[in-house]
Amino acid sequence: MKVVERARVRFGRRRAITRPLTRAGAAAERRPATGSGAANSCKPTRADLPTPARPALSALLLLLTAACAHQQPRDWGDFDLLRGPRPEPEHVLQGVTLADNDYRQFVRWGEAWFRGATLGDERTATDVAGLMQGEIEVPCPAPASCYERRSVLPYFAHAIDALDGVMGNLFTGNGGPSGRGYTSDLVLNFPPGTRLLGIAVPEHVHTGLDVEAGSPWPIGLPGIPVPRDEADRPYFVHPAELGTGPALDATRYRIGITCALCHYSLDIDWDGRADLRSAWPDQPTPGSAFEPQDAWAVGNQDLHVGWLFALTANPMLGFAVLSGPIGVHDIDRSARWVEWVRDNYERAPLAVKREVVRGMLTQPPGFADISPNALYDNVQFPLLYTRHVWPYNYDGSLINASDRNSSVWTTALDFTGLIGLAGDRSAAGQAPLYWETTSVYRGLSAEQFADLMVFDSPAVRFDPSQRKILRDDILGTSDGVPGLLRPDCVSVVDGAPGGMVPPAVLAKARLTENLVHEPREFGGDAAERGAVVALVGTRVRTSPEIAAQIDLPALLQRYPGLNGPELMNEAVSLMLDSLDPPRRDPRLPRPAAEQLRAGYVLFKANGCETCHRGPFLTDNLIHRLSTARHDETGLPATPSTAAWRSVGRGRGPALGTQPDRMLNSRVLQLYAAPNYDPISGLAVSSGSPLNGLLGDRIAGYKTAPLRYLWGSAPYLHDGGVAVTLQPDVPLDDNDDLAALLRRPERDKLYGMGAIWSDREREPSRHLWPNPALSLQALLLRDERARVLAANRSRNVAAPESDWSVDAFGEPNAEFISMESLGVSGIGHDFYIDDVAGGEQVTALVAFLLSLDDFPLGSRRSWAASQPTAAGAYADAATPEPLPTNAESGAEPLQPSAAQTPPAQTQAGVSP
Amino acid sequence: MIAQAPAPSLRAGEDSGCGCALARWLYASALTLSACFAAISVGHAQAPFQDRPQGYVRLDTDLRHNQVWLGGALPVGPIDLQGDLLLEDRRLRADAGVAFYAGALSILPMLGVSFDFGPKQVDRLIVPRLFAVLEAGPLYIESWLELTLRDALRAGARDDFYTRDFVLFTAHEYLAIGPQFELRYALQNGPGRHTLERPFGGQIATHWGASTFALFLGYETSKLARGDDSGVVGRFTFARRWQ
Repeated sequence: MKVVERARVRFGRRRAITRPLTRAGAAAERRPATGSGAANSCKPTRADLPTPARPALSALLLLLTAACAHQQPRDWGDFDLLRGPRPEPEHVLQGVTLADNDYRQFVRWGEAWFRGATLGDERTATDVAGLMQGEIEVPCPAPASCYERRSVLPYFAHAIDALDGVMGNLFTGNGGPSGRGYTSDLVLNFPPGTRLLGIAVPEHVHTGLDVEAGSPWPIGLPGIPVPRDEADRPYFVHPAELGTGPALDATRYRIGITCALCHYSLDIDWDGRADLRSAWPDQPTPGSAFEPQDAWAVGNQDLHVGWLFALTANPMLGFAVLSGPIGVHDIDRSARWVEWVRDNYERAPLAVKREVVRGMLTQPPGFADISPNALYDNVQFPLLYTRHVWPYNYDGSLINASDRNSSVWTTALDFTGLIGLAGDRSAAGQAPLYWETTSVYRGLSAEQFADLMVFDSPAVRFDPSQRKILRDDILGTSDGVPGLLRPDCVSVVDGAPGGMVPPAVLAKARLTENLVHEPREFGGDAAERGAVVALVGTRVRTSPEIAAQIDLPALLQRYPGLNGPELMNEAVSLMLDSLDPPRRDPRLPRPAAEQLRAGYVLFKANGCETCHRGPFLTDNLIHRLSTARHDETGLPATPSTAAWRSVGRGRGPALGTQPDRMLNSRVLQLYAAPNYDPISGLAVSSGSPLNGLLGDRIAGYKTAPLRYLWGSAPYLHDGGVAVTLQPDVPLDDNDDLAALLRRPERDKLYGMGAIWSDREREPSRHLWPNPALSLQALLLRDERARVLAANRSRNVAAPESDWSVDAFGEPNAEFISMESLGVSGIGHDFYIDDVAGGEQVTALVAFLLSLDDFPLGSRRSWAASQPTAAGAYADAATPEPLPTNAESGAEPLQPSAAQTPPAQTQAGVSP
Repeated sequence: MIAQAPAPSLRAGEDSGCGCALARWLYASALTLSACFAAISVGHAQAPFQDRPQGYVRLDTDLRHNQVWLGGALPVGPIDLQGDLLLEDRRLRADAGVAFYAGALSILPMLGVSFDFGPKQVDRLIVPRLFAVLEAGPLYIESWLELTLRDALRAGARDDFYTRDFVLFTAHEYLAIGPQFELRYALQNGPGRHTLERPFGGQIATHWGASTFALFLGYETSKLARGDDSGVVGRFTFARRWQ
C-alpha cells in the first residue's frame, strides 16, 4: 500500500513534470533538446541584418531552423567492426546510475518481467480468447460421418507432459530442470481426420512453442493462478483434470501471454533442435555452445501464431490483427471484410469464425501480422538487441524504449486494448487529413468491436451475463480503463489522439486517484513524445505485486531519482539493452582474416557503412520507403514546372519497399511521431501534422542493425529474402563458402513460400533459409530477382475450407503467394556488381556473417560481464522454482551432429 | 508584361532607401540561406547510391516573349550543382547555383549574367536569383525572387526586383490550381511610382509523365503596365525533366 501511495505522490507532484522519470528523460535534461551542431550553425546574427527586414527575416529563419532540424547520425570515428569491442551498456536506469550489483539485479528483474509479467492479460487470453481451448472435431470410431467435439487443452497438456518421455508428471516436475522435458517446437498430436471448423487439422501441428526442462508451461504462456476467492469456471485450467498426472494442489490457472512468447527461443542456431534446455541464467545446458541468456530476445523464428490463435475457443478476438481476406492485399477489401464480419458474427457465427481461422492459418511460422488492419503485413519476430538502436519497431515510429514496451503490452498482449481504434473512437483520428486512407474500423463502433470480441468467448458461453460485463470493461465504461489489463497495472493517458479514450471513459477514470496522467507528467522528453507515450491511450505501470516483490519503497529510498510506476517498463528496457547476440557456434570453421578484411573493405566501398554504421550497425535514422509522393504521403504529386527540383533529395536514397506497407503506420510516422535526435534517441519536437506536411518526418524504415545475421535469415523487415538449397541436393562436405554460393540455380530453393511449404510437408527436414545464400540474394540483383519472382508466385497452399467461395462470394484460392501475405522481399535495392560465388560477394557475405564475433579482436560475452553463476541472483526476484520431479536421470547434452549445423544452414567458410 | 517590359528611365539615384534596404535584405537572406544549407551539407550522411545527374528543358511563352531554358543538375552529396542557359529574344542568360533540400522545402539560389546579342555586351547581372518550393500537404508553394542589376554595367539603366509567387492546390493526380501573384519593382532608375508590373491571377497545371504544363491567366493591376490594354495577361509554361 505504501508503494501505491508513494507512486501517487510522485505522479501527483507538479515537480514530477520536469523531473526525469525515464532514462531517456534524464538524458534529455542533461542535454539541450536541440539538434546537431549543424542545426545550431543556422542561428542568425541579428546585428548584421537590416532593421526593417527583421520581422520578415525572423519568420524566414524560423522556417530555416525547422528545415535545419534534420539530425545527423553519430560519428563513430574509426570504429573497427572486425576488432570491436562494442560499447558496454550504461548502468543507468531512469537517469540514475546504479551500483553494479543493483544493475545486475535490475537486468535479472527485467528478464523475469519480460518472461513473466502478464499484467492481467490472462483474462483476455483465457476468459475471452480461450487459449488452447478451441473445439476440434475428432472422428468417432463409427459411423464414418460422426465427429466428436473435444477441447484442444488436453492435447496441449499431453504434448508438454510427453517431452521428458515420462507421462503423468506434468505438474510434478516434468523431468526436472536437468531433464529432457524441453523443446523448441512443441508439437500437438491430433488423431487423423481431425477438423477445426471444417478445416483439416494436421496430425502433427508444429506450434513453435518453446518449453524449458521441467516446466509445465511453454515460455511466454505462463499459468497464472486464479485467486482463491474467484468462483470456479470450466474454462480455467484444472491440472488434475487434464489426464497428465496429479496436481500438487487445487490451484486453478488461467493462461497468460508474455513478451517471451515471441522473443525467446531455445533453438539458437535454427537447425530445428533446442540448443538449450532452459533460458534461466542459473541453468546452463552442459555441452551446449550457447549460454542461457542467448535465448533471450533472439526472436522465436518458428512460432506459429496462426495455429496458436486458430486453436482458441474464440478466434474472433484477433480477427482484424491476424486475419483478413485471403490472397489479396487491398486495404479497401480489408475494410469490407471487417464490415462482413460485423454484419455476420451473430447471424452466421460459424461461417465467420471459419473465415477468420482460415486467415489466421496463412500466418507463416516465425512471422506475425502485428498490424491491426485486416491486411496481411507479416513481419518476422524481431530480434530485441536494442542497445543504441533507437528508434524502435521496423518503422521507427517509437523512439522511446518504454513507449515501445508499453505499446506491446497494451495492444499485442491484450488485443482488447485495440478498442481505441474503433470507428467512433480513433478511426477518424487515424486519418486526420482527408487524403489518408481511412481505417478499416470506420464502420465498426467501439461497442460493436467489444461485443464482437467477447460474443463467443468462453466466459460468455458459460455465463451470458458476462457479455455486458466484459464489453463494458473493454470499453472502459465500467472502470475507466479501456481494455482488459488490470487497472492497477495501467495508467490512462489524457492526450491520446483522435478520441481513443473518449471523454466519458476519461471522466470515469478520473474518479480513481492517480489513474489519469498527461504525457508531460512522464518527464524528460515525454511532452514531445506526446501521443506515442500511450499509443492506444493506456500505458502500463509497475504492478503492485512487482512493487512488493522488489520492496519498492526501500529501493526508492536508496535511489530517490527512480520512479516507481515506470520501473517495470524501464527494467525490461535495461535488460534488453544489456544483451548482445549469441556468437556463431565456435565449432564452425572461421573465415580467413584476409577474406574478412576484404569483405570489410567492400562493405565500406559500397556505401553500406553509410547507414549501417558504428558498433551497432545503424545510423538510427529512418529512411524513406519511396520518393514517390503518393506512396509516401498518400497525396498525388503536384505538377511542378520547377524542373530544377529533384524530388526526394537530401534524405539519401529511398528503400523502394512495397509502398502499401506504409498504410500501416504512415499516419503514425508522419503526423504523430516526434522528431528526434538520432544521437541521443530523444524527442526534440512534438509530432504534429505539420511535421509530416513539411517533410520533417518521413515514412520509412529505420536502419536495421546488422546483428545476429548468422542466425536471423530470412532477411529484410518482412523476411522476404530467403534462399536455401533444395532439400534433395546433397551438401558436399568440401563446400566452402564460395562453393556454396556458386551452387547453380537448380540447386537452390528461392523464396520463403517454397521453404515454408517444404517444412509443412516434411517437418523433420526443418528446411530453413541458408544465411549465406540469403545474404547473397540481398547483394546480387539477379539472385534477388529470383527471390522476388518466387514470392510473387502462388506456391503456398491456402487453408482448406468446405466452402467453395470466400466472404465475397469469390472462389477460394487454392494457392496464394507470399507477396499477398505481405512477404515480398521488395526493397533495399543496393547491389554489388558480382556473380554468385564471386570473390567480392563471398568476402562480403563472410564478413556479414562474422559481425557479431569481432573475429580479429575480442568480444566480451554477456556472461563475462555478469557475476559468476546463480549466486549472483540469489536475491533476485524470480518466480518460485517449479517443483522438480524425481531426478529423471537425463544425461547432459553432448555436442552432436544435431547441434553442429550443416553448412546448409550455417555457411561453412574455409579457413 | 510578365517578362521585362520596357520602362522609361529616371534619373540615377532617385530611388535609394527602400530599394537598397530591400536589396541588402535579399542579399543577406541569400547568404544566410547558403550558409545554413552548407552547414547541413557538411555533416550529412553520404548516400550510398547517389542520384543521377538530371537535365531539363523549359519553355515560357506569353504575348511578348518566349523564354527557352536548358538546365541541368549535378548531385553532390545532399545538394545539387545547378546551371541553366536561358534564351530570351536576343539575350542569352547563364545562371549557376546550388540547390538545397530540407524536407518539403527546396531552395535554389543562383547568380546569373545576361548577354545581349544586339549591342554584343553583358547587359545585366542577376544577383541573386532565388527559387523556393515548399510542398506542404496538398499545397504547392513556389516563389521566385530576382534582383536584376543593369546600372552597374550601363549607367542610368534600371535596376529592378521581380517576384513570382503562386500557390497550387493539388486537387487530383493530374490537376493543380491556385492563385498567382507577380511584381516587378524598379529599385533604381525606374518610373516614379516604382511598380512596373503587378499581375494577379490564377494558374492551372497538369502533368503527363515527366512533362508539366501550366497556364497562368491574370489581370495586370498596375495601371502603368496596363496602359491602354485590356489588362489580361497570361503565360504558358512547359517543362520536362530527364534523369
